Amino acid sequence: MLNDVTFGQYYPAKSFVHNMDPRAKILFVIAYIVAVFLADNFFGLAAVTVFLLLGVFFSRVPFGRVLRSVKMILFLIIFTAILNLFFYSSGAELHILWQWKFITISWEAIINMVFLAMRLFLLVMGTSVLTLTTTPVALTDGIESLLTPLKWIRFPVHELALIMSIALRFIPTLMDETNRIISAQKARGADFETGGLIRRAKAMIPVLVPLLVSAFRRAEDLGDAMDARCYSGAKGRTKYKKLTFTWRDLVGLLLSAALITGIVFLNLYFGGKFAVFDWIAGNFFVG
Amino acid sequence: MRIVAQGLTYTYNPKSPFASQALKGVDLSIEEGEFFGIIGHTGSGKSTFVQHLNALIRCTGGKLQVGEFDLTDKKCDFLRLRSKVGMVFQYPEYQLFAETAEKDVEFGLKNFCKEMDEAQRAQAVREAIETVGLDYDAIRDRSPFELSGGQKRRVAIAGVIVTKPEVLILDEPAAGLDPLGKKELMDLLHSIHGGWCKTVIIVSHDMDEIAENCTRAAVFSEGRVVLCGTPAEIFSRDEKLFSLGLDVPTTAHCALLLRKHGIRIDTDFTCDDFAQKVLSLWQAERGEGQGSAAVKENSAAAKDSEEDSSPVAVKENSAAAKDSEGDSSPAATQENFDAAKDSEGDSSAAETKSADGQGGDGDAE
Repeated sequence: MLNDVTFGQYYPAKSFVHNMDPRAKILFVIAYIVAVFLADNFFGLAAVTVFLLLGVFFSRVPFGRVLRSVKMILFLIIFTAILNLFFYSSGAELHILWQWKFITISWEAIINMVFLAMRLFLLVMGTSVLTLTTTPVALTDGIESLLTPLKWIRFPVHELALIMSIALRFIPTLMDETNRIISAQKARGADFETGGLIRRAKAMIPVLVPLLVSAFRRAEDLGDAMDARCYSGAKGRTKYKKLTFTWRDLVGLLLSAALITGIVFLNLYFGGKFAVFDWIAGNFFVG
Repeated sequence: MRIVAQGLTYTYNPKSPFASQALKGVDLSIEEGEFFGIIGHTGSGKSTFVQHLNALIRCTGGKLQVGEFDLTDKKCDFLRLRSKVGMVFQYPEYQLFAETAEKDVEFGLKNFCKEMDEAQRAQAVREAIETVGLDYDAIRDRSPFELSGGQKRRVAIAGVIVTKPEVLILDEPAAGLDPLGKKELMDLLHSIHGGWCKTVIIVSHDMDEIAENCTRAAVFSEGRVVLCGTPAEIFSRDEKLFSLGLDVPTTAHCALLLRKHGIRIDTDFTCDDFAQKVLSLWQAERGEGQGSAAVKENSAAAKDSEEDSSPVAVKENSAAAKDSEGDSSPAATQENFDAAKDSEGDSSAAETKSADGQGGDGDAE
């Protein structure tokens, strides 16, 4: 049951996106997120969608695999969408479609709902392309490198990155351990699947105690192993895998600049999201 | 309970790039009353197989019948199955969690035997703790985390056998134990085997352990059973085992070396039997009546002539083994066999070792 999480998100493949520098990918995703929130009409969202599809295509990750990451927050998307549908209000006059007591459904609400759902959808899809194509270690390296300027204000960037990579490194190990302990306790008749919330929480004690004990044991071992290799912090440390900036990353950065510029132009040219509505109303519901 | 697996398959992480087929069609039957060994290198599917036996891994392909339980049936009563098929994982001491050893051992009992009252439970816990060779009154109120490594493992095993499972499965039970601990553990298994525990299944890398203890064994490789039979049958296929990256018991190594010198020994690869066979061979060749003191002198003399060196050294050690009532002698004889194997090693070293071995025996008793 925990196997899905064991390997994190990473999807091994050889592709353009996989080969990009993690820093470029992180910057690109930041630009992408900005674009998703900047886009003010459906043309803008369409442009972002095109970028997303291109990204997925060049990453060679099956589309279904990327879609699966949305599954986890599907509930959230539906929930916010429904709330928006029934309780949308704005200063302007609404084109009411249906009304019952205090619940109203208007054309604006529908448009707003679709818009919001698409935004969330694109957001999750885009970020999961990043995590699907970048190993956690590369991601931490990228973040460390991008945060380097913070060293000037004595922010412990290296230590933070080290903590992150150790945490990431131990997720699969501890997951394995958890699975093993769960199996062992199941063999002794432990039942994790029935009963109410409190019963289930209590049933986890025979798993959590040994897990905690082993985590401390591992931490101690790791500390000793690092001491034995004379680890003494960031000072004078070199890297085994150096991040290199290649033409791919230049392409990525140029594309992200193009994306944001494009969105700004689309916003200016087509107006807000209800402009579409005005256009339809103007053409089909004259009078 | 008879265990029958037919065409059992299992794939980890199916339909993902990490998919790996651990079992590719396992056919195996284990009869009630056996002391069964499962051999195989890492990743051969042996652990996956044994986890199927008490439904820790659900059957996804093939058939599996354990006693009256049909494990392919989704409505199978898994809780009752698990009370009948006990499972001791590798390093079981890492599953200890309760505040006291007594409570930890009681855990399985509370889950499986809900109708028991407190007095009955206390009695069962006492029995289990005493079965694994610990002092119940001294240990019951101590935290399992402050016990020694060996004690922890015993408490963990007590936690599994407290429900008296008919089938007991142990994954590398002796891993990380010292020779004495290993021997005591095997003695423990033999003492419960045949009583309430009808079948014992051990997964092991240690071929000596399999040869000495098991009535039958199966060799797993790449998700299939490649060899199955008595240890004598399996270990006579040494070339097959070597090609699978596995080893044979020390006795089989010795038999191999002897065969190179033209001496064939038909043994079932237990130390006792091997020593007996070598002894009778030696007696047949030299006539009877020579005491062990003479043998030791001979062994020093035989050092120069390479051909005689190994058999004589073996004879000497087997004599030593016989002296010590064959109790913890397997360990001692093995050490000496190692020494004997190395024909260049001088025999005084071998003698020192054998003396050490006997000293160890003294400690053991």
